[in-house]
Amino acid sequence: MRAEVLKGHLDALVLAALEAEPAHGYGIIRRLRARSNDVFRLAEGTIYPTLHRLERDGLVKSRWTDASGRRRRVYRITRSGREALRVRRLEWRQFALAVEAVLA
Amino acid sequence: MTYLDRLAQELARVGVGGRARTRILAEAADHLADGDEAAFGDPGALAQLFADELATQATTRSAYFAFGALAVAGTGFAAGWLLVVQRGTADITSAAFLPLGLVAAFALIACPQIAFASGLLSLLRARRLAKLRAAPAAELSLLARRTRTALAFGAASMVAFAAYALDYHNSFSRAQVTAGTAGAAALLLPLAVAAIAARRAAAVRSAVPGDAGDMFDDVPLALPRRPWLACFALAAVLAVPLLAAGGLDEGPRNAAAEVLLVVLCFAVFGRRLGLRD
Repeated sequence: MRAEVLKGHLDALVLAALEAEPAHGYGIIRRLRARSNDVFRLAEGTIYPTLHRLERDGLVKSRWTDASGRRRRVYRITRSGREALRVRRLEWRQFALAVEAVLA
Repeated sequence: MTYLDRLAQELARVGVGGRARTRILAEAADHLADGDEAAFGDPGALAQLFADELATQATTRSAYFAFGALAVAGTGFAAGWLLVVQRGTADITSAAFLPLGLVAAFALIACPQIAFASGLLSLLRARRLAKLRAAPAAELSLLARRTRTALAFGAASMVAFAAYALDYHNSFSRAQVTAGTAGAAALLLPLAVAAIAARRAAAVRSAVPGDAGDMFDDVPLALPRRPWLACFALAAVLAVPLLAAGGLDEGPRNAAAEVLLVVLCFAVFGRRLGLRD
């Protein structure tokens, strides 16, 4: 799928990927690919500006962790992030139903 | 040159430095230990993505900070003015060096008004751009110009205040002159800190396309897009209280001077501050 198509939805997709449990950037990319059956393929680095913005907006939090001698920045969704995700889901469902109705 | 070296170089090119750059490079290094460079994306494009968002955040924040610094300086300026003139203003011809006194007196009237107008325009634009993920480079550039202008004229107001107090020292007590000059010097400090923040923010370069817009995009009112009409309307609004307060003798003179000042400033700074084409 083209990156431009994903661009407007990346915030919600990242929040959804973090909903179940925290993850680092590479882990989020893998979750997005797995859950989309490998449809969502974007330049992997672009996940980081999104994560940094979500953190500035208070929707995710992050911290450095040390696992097996390796430093990784792990992100987790906040309460505000869960609320934002709930709203985005509602908006998406309305939008998808409307598009489906028109296209069908 | 490794991928991380190229990313570091590209981040430096777009002005992303300090802790943000360190964090980005550390996360990229961790990611690339698992993934491959081709999938991570072009380093130039990635650096620009970061810069587009960080420039918006830094420039709007620096505008807020500058307005805060101007508010502190403006409050101090007003308090200092009341302190210095509590025994009445000095006779304009009593300056130790008259040309300096005249320039300082004019600057005392004009500079705070320009600083306030620029700062307010900066604040209005910052409020609008803060809602955007990545604002157009031209809009951010205009915002930065407004912020710099506000800070420069804020600083000029303080210098003018100190110069006025010193040049007309014969008309004031020693304590008034000392307090006036020391206060003006102290009030330069928040403005200097805000200027440094604005300079740092301007180092981050957005590349988002789009027009700079003008004041009608910033004012939350549906006004006719006629800049000079807006200028004369504003001048009239500012002149009316001066006309009323000055009485028959000084009122018309003060009001005419204010109208002239507003129109002159609009002509000189209009394009720089995005007030007119």
